[in-house]
Amino acid sequence: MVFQKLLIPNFRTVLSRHGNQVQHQVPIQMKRFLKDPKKFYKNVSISKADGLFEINLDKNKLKTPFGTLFRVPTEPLAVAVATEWDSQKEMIKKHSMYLTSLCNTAIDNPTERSKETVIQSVLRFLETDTLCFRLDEPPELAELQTNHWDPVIQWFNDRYSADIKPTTGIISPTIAEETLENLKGHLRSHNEWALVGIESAVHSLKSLILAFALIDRRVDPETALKLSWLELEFQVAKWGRVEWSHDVEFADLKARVSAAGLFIHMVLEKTETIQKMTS
Amino acid sequence: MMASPVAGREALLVLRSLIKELRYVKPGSSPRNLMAYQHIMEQYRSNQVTSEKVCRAREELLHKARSYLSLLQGIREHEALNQEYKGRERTLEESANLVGLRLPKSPEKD
Repeated sequence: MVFQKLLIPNFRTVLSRHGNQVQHQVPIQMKRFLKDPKKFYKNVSISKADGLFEINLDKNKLKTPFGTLFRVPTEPLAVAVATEWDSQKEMIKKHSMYLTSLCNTAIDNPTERSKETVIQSVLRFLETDTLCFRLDEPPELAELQTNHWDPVIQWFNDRYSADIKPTTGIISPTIAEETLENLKGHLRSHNEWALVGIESAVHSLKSLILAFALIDRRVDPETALKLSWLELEFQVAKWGRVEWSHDVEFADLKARVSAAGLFIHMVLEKTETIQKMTS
Repeated sequence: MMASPVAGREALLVLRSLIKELRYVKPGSSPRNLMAYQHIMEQYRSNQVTSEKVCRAREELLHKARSYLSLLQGIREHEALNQEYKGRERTLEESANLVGLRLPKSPEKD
């Protein structure tokens, strides 16, 4: 399954006329965007205009990678984004500004996909949902998976009138059309900003079911990630931990999943405000 | 769902950890000056009422607080680990050691 690199923080994706292909030769001008810039401001503040919130870096208004004015629909989100910019030291570490990235993606829509396309992409993850693929050995791992993952699937099936069953094979289980339609309808009820967060959560957790559990607050971000990493954590406990690999990745994903969860909850039910932004 | 004292205690623990994390945002100045700090305190204060009706609001606040805490922790841990394990160019001494050589002793200064 091809995973599109969708949420590239502050990176101008060069789109060819015939599809979303990133050019492999990075032109000299683009390399500027790849380096971390120096911190060029002292004070960060937020201001409200037309019911939306903007970020001020000294006297300058923050803009998105595409040059659009950076505006978010709610104050808590603006405060959190402002804090990201405020916490930068000498260099601006763009990769660590997860909420800013999510907002940029929501505003710019760099891959130019429609809401329906995004929903399709998110739903397709269900075919390869981590929680659905079980091992039958070693038995301790199989038991861990049953004990930790079955309740989540059960909850998901009850809550979303779905019929998901785990498998020990390698072939994706077929999902009932009705289930897919139900879930599609549910995803359609969210606004475009929430979908950006949902897609990010699904990608990071490698599971639509876990992402939904996070959205419904059944689990917190760190727990969701630990559930996603169940097998990996089991192997690591057995064979040893490589700090510069496992821990680094876990820390990054923990931040990513937390940012996605926070972002989603901060833009849920703000559909009216968000619609005003695009009109 | 009844408002339980345990949930209240956890909320306070999360708050304490959050304030600790916020100290790293602008080391040197008090976290109390940060917008984020003021916003979080405001949220916590307005959810102090212990009644069944606002239980859901408290659950939502706690979930947001936990999420923000793990966000800040994740960022800081990631950066710390990156710093620790990032590569650097070998010193002259290390390069020499690779092939079993040692740097000659430099003469003593008078």
